[in-house]
Amino acid sequence: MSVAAMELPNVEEEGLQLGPIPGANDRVRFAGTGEAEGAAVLDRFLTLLHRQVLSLELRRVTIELAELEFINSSCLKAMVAWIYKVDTEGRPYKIHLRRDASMHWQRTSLATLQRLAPEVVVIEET
Amino acid sequence: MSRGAGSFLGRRVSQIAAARTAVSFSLERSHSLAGKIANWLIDFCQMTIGDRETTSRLHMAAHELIENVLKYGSTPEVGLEFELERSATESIVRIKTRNTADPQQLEEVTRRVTELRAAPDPVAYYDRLIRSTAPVIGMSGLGLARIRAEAGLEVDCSVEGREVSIVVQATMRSDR
Repeated sequence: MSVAAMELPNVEEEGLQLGPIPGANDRVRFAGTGEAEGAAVLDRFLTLLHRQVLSLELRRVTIELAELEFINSSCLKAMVAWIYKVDTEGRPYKIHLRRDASMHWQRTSLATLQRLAPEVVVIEET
Repeated sequence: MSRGAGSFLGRRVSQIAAARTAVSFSLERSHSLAGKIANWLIDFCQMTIGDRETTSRLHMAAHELIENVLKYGSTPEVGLEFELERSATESIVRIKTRNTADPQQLEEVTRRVTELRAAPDPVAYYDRLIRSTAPVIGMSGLGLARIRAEAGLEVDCSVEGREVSIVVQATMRSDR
């Protein structure tokens, strides 16, 4: 059975690059650096992603983070809001975060996100 | 006055003593400069302390502090200082920001830092803060708690008149 691919834009704004991974229906890639101005960009993208995942009835979505150099707390808050929404609205899907553990901030910040919603967030190594 | 990336006012690099180095800037508020300044600061930090883990923690702190002064400062000029003190047994790195702010902001930042410093478990405090702000649209307010919990750095603040200074400090054992 084939599953429809997500229809998400490739976004390059405010230092962030966000978009679907070609050929993978449940994977997206985040890259670049997210400062304060990037929070709204990330928030919009995550809203679209959430809608897509729900409409396709996916059970999981994977975010590739290895090329995400850093996000500040405003962007982290956008991730928090999305994860909280998934966690408190019936946990319709799991969120797999694929990190590069050599980056200190990824180790600590992704652990923070997992503590927020351990039933939803799964951390994987790249 | 605006001279792009070269618009730092009162730039000063001083060798205060053989074991103490301080760099200070006064800069105009510009969000586009924040990341560049943080990265420059961290490059400098990497060169001087040569400890990748500590540099990464300071990188996080620098980004958060610079964002805060740009977001909450009430006048165009804000300050940023980097200080390294070395002794035979340890090295201390401090990043200090200063900005003027409205009385309400001064009160709020003082309250937050006092709460943060009093918290016996910084990670538990941070987790509670995240959970309580998660449903609130647009509000972050996580920066200082993130510095304390994720970067594992000490955070303090002082207010003088309408100016607030925030200091973040890392202490490392010297390997020499």
